[in-house]
Amino acid sequence: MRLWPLLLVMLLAPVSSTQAQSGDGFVDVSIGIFVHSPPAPVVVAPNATKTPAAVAEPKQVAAVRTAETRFLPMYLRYRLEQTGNFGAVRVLPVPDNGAELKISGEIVRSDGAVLELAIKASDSTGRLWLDRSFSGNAVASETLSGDAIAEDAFAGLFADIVRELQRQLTALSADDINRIETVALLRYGLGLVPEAFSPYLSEDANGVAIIKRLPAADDPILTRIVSVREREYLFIDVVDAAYGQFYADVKPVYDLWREFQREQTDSSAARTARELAAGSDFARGSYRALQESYNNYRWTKLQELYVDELGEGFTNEVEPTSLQLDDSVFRLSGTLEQQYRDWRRILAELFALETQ
Amino acid sequence: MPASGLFTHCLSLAMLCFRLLHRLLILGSSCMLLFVTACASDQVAGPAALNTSAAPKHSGALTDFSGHWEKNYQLSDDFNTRFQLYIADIQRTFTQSNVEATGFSPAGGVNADAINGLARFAEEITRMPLLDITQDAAGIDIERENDFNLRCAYGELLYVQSSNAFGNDLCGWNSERMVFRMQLGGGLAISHQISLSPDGGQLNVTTTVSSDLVAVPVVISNYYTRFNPPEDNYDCQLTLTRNRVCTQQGRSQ
Repeated sequence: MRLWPLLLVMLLAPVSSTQAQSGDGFVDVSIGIFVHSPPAPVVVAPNATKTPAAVAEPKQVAAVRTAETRFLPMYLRYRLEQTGNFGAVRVLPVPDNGAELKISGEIVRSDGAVLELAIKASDSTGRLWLDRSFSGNAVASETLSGDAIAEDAFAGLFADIVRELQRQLTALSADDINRIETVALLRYGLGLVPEAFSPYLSEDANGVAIIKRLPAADDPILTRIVSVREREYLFIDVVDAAYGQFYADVKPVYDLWREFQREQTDSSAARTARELAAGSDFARGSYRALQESYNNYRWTKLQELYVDELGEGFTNEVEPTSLQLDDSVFRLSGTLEQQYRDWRRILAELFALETQ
Repeated sequence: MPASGLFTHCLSLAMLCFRLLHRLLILGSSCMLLFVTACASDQVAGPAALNTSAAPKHSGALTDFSGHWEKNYQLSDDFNTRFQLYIADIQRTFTQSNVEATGFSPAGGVNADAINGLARFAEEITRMPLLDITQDAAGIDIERENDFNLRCAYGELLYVQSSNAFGNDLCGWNSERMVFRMQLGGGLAISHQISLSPDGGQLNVTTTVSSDLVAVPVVISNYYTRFNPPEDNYDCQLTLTRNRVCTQQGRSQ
């Protein structure tokens, strides 16, 4: 069935006002799904004739790592929302063309005891807000109010990120914010109807946006772009809600996994240090000495097994939720992509008709 | 250890392997792996680390050991007999080395405590009445009663080395056999070599335990027969928030 007549009606219909509408004086934030830092490259000997083969990541490790890439940006989202100083804050699986403030994150280290994130944030005009690493040790936190958002082992690290972003935000004037919103809209238009929006915007050598001129306030193509963006937000909000559900389902399991992992790391380090410092009381080569040596080794192997079991428990509990989210994101992203293609085609046709 | 010391150490291990090739044919094929691990063991032993930088890829045709295995006591080594042979072997080695004066002699002469200790220890770690093996393209997991799982995440690699504060290990393929080799503190080394009979019904686990205070390692060969455990009516899953969650087969929870 051809969708375009329906879409045309949608484009020409008036847009209902939503919270996320551009020009509200607040900077909207789009947070991308985080990524894990790539593993350290394998050093190949200069005279090696064969490339080392790759070792597949165990399933239980992969499940935790995947969950983290979604969980951590969601937590950042809630922290930013809590400040009340930003506009709509969304977590997106795909790049947002019309983002006012775009945040990306890389998980450098996450082992339950230590979390290190490399965060980059830049606005639509190309201004860099933040590009640095944040690292923190887990601290058990409990609030009097029982605030689930504040009660996170790495709440301090996220507070640092939010503080840094707020510092940048408060340094902006109303004109700056207005400019960020305008450029975001023009960039969005550029992605949909490049022929109509390319005269308005260019970039300098550093990637900073230069507004060459602005379309008229009643420009029909601009009105349609605003309309399309509002409708895209409706789709995005559904994806965002799916991430919200994922966060709520996974949080108790992930918190527990981090706690167990932390306890294991601490006790393991303590025992290893104790055993190595104490040395052996038995004669070298005797049955007792051999047994002691083997038991120490066996203990480390059992610890490895325990860590894997934690991962397995995590996977078993989170996998159904994770698959559900994958499915939602896949379906909605696919629909959005199709919509985007249709919008682009129709808008190009309309622009051609109007400029003939 | 200085480079010259390391070389001497590796050389003496190579000589030990060469000797053992004549005496214990079963050990011959694992000699290269033993050599690699033993030399690696003198390097840094930090926290658990995996080193795959030098490992080549395996051929791709892997033996499938998966299944439930129970010890076949008739075919397996009887420890008392094995111990008698072992003592005889040590006496022969000691006498021969004295006569030939090749330098291949146990440190400090015959250390009876070390010999008995090694034998007793070898017997203890080779009891393993049941083995439960799961295996796929990524690796193998051998669950043993009363001991840690022997696991090897070989993936595409021929062998994988790792280390922790208490020892170094290497596991991998030696033709159609799977080898686990551990070099632990106090001069203790253990290797398990696992092979399958041509019809797939018998599993052989040959364990070699050696100490740097005893010239001849203890070698124990155990056989296992495949068995099908009674069907479990429960399907259990490990979870973090609810521990182990079991459901009856064919029924939802």
